[in-house]
Amino acid sequence: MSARIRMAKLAPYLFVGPAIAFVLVFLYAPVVFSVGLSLTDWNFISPTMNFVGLENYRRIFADPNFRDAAVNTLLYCVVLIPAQIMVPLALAALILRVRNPFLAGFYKSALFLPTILAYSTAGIAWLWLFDPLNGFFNAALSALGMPTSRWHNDPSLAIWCVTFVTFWKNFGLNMLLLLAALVSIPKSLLEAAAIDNAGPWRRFFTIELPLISPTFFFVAVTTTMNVLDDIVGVIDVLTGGGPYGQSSNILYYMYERGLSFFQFGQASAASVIIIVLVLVVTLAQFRMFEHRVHYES
Amino acid sequence: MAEVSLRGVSKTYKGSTAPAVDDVSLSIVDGEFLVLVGPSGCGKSTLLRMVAGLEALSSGEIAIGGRRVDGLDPAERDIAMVFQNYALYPHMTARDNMAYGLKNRGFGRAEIAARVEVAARILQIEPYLDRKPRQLSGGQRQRIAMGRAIVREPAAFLFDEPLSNLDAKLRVDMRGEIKSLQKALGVTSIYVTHDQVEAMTLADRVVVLNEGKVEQVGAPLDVYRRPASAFVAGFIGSPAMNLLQVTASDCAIHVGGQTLRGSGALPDGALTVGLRPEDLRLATFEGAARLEGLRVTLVEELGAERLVHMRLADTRLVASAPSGEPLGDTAAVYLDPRKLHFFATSGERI
Repeated sequence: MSARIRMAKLAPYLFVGPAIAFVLVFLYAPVVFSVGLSLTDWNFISPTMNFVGLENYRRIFADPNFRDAAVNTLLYCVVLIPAQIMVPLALAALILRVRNPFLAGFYKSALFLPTILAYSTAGIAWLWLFDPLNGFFNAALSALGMPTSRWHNDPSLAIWCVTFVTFWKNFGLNMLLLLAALVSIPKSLLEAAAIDNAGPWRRFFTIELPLISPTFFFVAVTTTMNVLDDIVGVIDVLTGGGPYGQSSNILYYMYERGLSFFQFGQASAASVIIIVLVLVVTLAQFRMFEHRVHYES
Repeated sequence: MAEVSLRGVSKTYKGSTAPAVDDVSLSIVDGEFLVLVGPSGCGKSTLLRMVAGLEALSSGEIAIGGRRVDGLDPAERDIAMVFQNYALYPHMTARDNMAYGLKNRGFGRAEIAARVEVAARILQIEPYLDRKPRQLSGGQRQRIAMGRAIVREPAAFLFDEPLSNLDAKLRVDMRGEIKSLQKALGVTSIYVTHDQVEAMTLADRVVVLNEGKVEQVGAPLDVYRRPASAFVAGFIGSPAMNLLQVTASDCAIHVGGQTLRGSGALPDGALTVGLRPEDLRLATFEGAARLEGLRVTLVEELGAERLVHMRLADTRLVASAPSGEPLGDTAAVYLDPRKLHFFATSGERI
């Protein structure tokens, strides 16, 4: 076999090699490492590491803070997943019907803008808006003669402040993805539907929505993952999980266990629970919805 | 089934000064098959889309079955359209594609099923009804698109270049089927194509459009035999009519340094002479109307006949000649004076 042929056979492996190495080192290895750590009592500093079996899992399930975080995670999912899919879908459908191109461009840019802001920047801006003493919202409420609020410092409101800011920060990307999918529907299909007496609602639900179902499904899966993990950025900047853990979620609980209290065993156990949760939810989404996705164009 | 009439229909797109469709008036009688033909950008599809209600009119009126429709939505015009790319809903089966318009119009299940079955039988697509468009060939998709139009039992069919995505053989087959189907159903039909062969074979009447304007309306053979302008003469017919730029004086035509006589009274000055390739004979005898010393530049063998491309100074000519006859590097051609068409420099027929 000549060197040239040998190189040609080797080339595909060389090309995909770096990507595979990257995924193995930074994705799968940490997962395996986390599973291992979750069965130990390692505290990051101690040179010794003892096998404790499922003790870490027992401890975090018994921890009321974890239970609060789990309930909050569920609440975030129940509110944010539908909101981050349906509202962007409605906005995309509305923007598609704006005939003035300048106005349509303005709406797209304005609504997408929060997505490109860093969590820290967005968080600081919202901290100022929510500030109980000098914030915009309370100033506006006072000016209108209405009672003011403690907003993110109020235990009963903190979770809703985090929910709202997370939604504000993330809906723009979904809107843009869904808008791109709607725009790519062949015009002739919509014209055929118009001749077939399909009104705007019927056309949307029987033609447009099925035709964008691959994007819709993608948005649904990524939004679910996003709500389970990416929300931590907002929690950290806005409330730090407080007051009294009222706005925390499982991922933030994991972060606190690991990097605030150096209980790496428990943090790893929490991370394993998150991985299992994401896998189960994603698998369920594929099982339940993928057969309704129309990939043909 | 209904008459379709267009009166002074014009369309000028925003930002454009030249109209895409310019003051078109047509009357399509009940059951007629009218073909709009012309080169790309001549406004034929725009005109059809205005009839369908997919484009707004800048001015003019459109009536279908005596009812003015230009202010109505497409669904209210009682028309069915077959699109160039078929526009079948990819997520629906062929059956659902055909039934969709009927469902939206509130037809009952039994009625829908009956209509779909009848259309499927006519179009011989029964085995494919439960397949999705991606599982069908181009020809089968075309039939489903036709079926979607037929089940509606509309006042008029509109076809927007429905055969242009098919291969040559299938196009010929489908052309025949569309013609037979239209005759059998007797539905008024407007058909857009840039293919003049399609126009000639399908149409009861042909409308030749150029730059948004109607150049000529007439039966296909009338348009072929007596084109109203040099544009129509050059567009209708395959291979195209030879159009020679000549000067005329004293009842003689001067072309490429040679003179032809016997064509009757003509205005003196520059004009265009048209001659169909089949009317241009490679000369085997001495005749009055004869051009000599033409350089043969290309011979295209078509089987039973061949196309001989020739050149005389700056003038190009194509003759249709029987295959097999000996041919040298130069040729002489005989022009039958009775078969010549004369056009003024403005393009109008003289």
